[in-house]
Amino acid sequence: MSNNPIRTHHKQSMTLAAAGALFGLIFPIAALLIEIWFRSLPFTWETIGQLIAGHPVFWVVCLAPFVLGITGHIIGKRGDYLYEMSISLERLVQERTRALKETNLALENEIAERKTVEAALKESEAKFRTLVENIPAVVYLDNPDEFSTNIYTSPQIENLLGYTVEEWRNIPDLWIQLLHPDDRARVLAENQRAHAEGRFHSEYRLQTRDGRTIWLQDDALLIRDPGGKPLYWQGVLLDITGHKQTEFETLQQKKYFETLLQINPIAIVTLDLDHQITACNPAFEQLFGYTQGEIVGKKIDEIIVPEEKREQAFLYTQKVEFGQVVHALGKRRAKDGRLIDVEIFGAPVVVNGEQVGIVGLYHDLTELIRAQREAEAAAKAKSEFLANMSHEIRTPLNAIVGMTSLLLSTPLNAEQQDYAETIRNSSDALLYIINDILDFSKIEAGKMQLEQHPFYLSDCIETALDLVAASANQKGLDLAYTIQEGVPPKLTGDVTRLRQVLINLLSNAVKFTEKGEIVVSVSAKQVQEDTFELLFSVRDTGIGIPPDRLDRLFQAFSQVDTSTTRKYGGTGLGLTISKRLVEMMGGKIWVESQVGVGSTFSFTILATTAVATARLSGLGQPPSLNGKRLLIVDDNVTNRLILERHTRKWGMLPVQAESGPAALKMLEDGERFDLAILDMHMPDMDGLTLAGIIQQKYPPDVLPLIMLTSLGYKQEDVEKVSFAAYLTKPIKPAQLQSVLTSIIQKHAEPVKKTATLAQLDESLGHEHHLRILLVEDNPVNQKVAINLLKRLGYLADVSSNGLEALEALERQEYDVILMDVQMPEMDGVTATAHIRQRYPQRAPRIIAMTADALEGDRERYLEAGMDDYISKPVRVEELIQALQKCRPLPPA
Amino acid sequence: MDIIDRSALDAYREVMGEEADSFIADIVQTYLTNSQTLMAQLSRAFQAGDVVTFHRTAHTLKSSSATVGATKVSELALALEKATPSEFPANTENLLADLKQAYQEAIIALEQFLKTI
Repeated sequence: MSNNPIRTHHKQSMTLAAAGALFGLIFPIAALLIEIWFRSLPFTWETIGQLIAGHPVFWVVCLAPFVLGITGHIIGKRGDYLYEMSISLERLVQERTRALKETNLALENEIAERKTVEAALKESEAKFRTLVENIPAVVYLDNPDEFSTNIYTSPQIENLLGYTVEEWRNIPDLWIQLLHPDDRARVLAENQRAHAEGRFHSEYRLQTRDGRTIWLQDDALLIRDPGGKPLYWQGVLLDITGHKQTEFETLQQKKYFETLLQINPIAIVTLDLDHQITACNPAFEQLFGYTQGEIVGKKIDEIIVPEEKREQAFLYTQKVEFGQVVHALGKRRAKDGRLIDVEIFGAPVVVNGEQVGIVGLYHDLTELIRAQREAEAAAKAKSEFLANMSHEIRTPLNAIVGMTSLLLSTPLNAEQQDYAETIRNSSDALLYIINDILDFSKIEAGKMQLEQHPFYLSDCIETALDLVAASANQKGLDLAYTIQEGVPPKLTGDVTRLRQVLINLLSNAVKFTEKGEIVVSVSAKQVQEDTFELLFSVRDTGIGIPPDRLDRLFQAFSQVDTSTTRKYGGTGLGLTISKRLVEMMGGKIWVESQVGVGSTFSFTILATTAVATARLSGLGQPPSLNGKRLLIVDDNVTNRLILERHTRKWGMLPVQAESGPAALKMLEDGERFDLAILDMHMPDMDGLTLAGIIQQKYPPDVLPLIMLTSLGYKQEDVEKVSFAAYLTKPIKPAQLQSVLTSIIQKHAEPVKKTATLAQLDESLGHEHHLRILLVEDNPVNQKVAINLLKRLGYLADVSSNGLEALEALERQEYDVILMDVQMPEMDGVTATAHIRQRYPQRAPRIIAMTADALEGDRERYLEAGMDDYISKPVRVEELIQALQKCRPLPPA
Repeated sequence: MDIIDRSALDAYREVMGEEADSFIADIVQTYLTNSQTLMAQLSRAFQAGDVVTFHRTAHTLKSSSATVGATKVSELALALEKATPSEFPANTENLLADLKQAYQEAIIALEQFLKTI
């Protein structure tokens, strides 16, 4: 309405009046002009005035503008009126139109609003429907009639049961049919009651279309109008199968745990966070003698923890409270006051990160401890039995062997000799077998322990050779040994076991060698400052071993072949034992062999050097032998070499001859000797014949002769010649040196034997002061020990039995007791026990002295409370070593 | 086998240095007197059937004899010491006889030895 036509409309009446007036003017003007123009009058105001004044017509014509103006005004006035009329009409129309428009708008708004409401309603319904049809439950409405005919069932019913809504609603009694037979009667009864109560709640099973059974929870409520008239049942079916399953599983688990708790032989108790007992199992009741009723609500520590253990038990519980698991051994008290050994477990019970209690377990160890003690006793009994059996079998066997040997040295006829020899051979064999089996079982049981004592290597080898010398001699075999330069003479180790290996290899060598020689050689390689790897080899000239059998040699119970067993006997354990022993000594064993040529068994061991103190022989260089010329006559090159090597070491000048004639030729050539060693067994010319020839020219005092024989050689056979000495093979350096020395000394000026090697002095006693008590009943050994100690700088007191020793200890304190084991009145073991008991804090170190250096003794003495042991007769090296381990008691 | 193993006593010789001879003489002398007693005691114990004394005496004799190198005596004494009660006195009598024999030889050898020192 911005262009209002009414406002722009000017008054028509005025306009027309003006227009009429202007138009009326045209007439007078035109009349004037025409007059002027037609009369050709000058165009001036005078003329005009004259004309007007002269012509009255002009006057009339001049009225025209007025008339026309008035006419125009009247017409205009009429138009104006009409205009006014139309304007007001138009305004009216416009107003009406606007009112109509407004009404329409209102109507439109109303319609739109109504549409919105409708949509909202629809949406809401859809929402609720979606809600109803999507909640994981079936929603239903039933008529409140007797049959509860269905009004609505949400379509989830199909998901739940596999029946469509239509089926569900149309098949009569479907619900009852599907009810689990076990639930049917109950649920129907509940349903009956529901009709009276207006409320229904039940849990039951239904069978689905595909045959599964599901658990449902059914809740329905009778809806009434305000007047109380029943309208419909409104109900929900909820699938609780999962829930039921969980419930079942929880129940099952609970039952399991309950059963576990009930039948568990371990005592179990549960505590709350105040350490108060909440429950216990029958085993707990049985172990501690309380019933659950007696102890529930009481503090556990006050019930079963002995007074003196409370603090510790409290710490355990505290530890559990901090979320840790406790595992400990301890004693707990039963109701009757008994202390029970138990293994204790404590663990926190945590639910969703929060500690709710404590579980305690007590495992009764009484039986276990008893079983363990029994097992230990059994093991001990077994090992004692083994040791005893070993001893008991060996003792009579040793007697048989020894006595048979003595018997064989008496005059016997051939038959008796044969029998006696058979006895000796058999008993020897039996002894070996028994030793082997005992050793083997000891090794297998891990009971074999190596000793660490100083020993002389040459002694070890010589004693091993001694043992096989007789049988080697019988077969006419030469036995020899050689120790290379650089091998430490004295070592620390287990001499018995080393010797055992050597004996085993040597007896094998003798067994499998028919002729020739068996040579032991030793070399050494320094691996550390005081540790050497010693290489031993035993070479024979025997039958040899086929290459394909070599690897079987070191296996238990295995020999080269069964025929070997038949021919040569033996248990087949020897090499296995040797192998294990060598390995225990840090080495290995191997064999090289050639059939028909011979075998060389080699092994290594690791050993530390021992300080060589005074040595009888073999080491020093006795001046008497220095520069003496020695003739060695032997066909065996190994023996010659060994003799030469030893004697050269002692400063002698040896010359070798490989046969009698060769020796005689040297003598004839004018060579002069101070001594000659002749081998008895030589081809062509034996030692005896040679000696006879030599002595024709050189009487014994000019050239003393030494006969080198094998063991068992009888002296009577050589009466016609005079030998200064006999040496038996294998040659032992100590023996050789002492024989050579004594012969040379006899032939030289008798020399008063004075201090030869005074390596020992009293410095030990001065530097390492000890108060020593010697307990020894045997006067000879007493003297030896006292003098040896004196020599070392110690003045020892002496008691002759255990009782006297105890009295001596009452009088004064000692740092060391050298204790004989077997004594009258009171033996060493008993005395030791008394000393340990009487002086628990300041007991002297007790060193056993024993002549029974049997295996296992060391352990037995140490077990009896002794600190160390040395063997008798007392060897000074051993004594020094034992004393060096002693420390004076600290000043009181 | 020599009745006396000289190396047993020689072992002390070098240890004892200057005093060796007197020491060895002393030891041997002690043995000679002490062992007589032991031998007598051994016979008595054997006759009386006193196994305990018998074994202990044999033990002492074994030990002393080993010290002076009377090897054979020592070995026989050991055999007696180890003789179990069941074979006492059956085999023991023979062993004892052997011991006496060996002992006599040993004493003679030791007395001779004493003269050479």
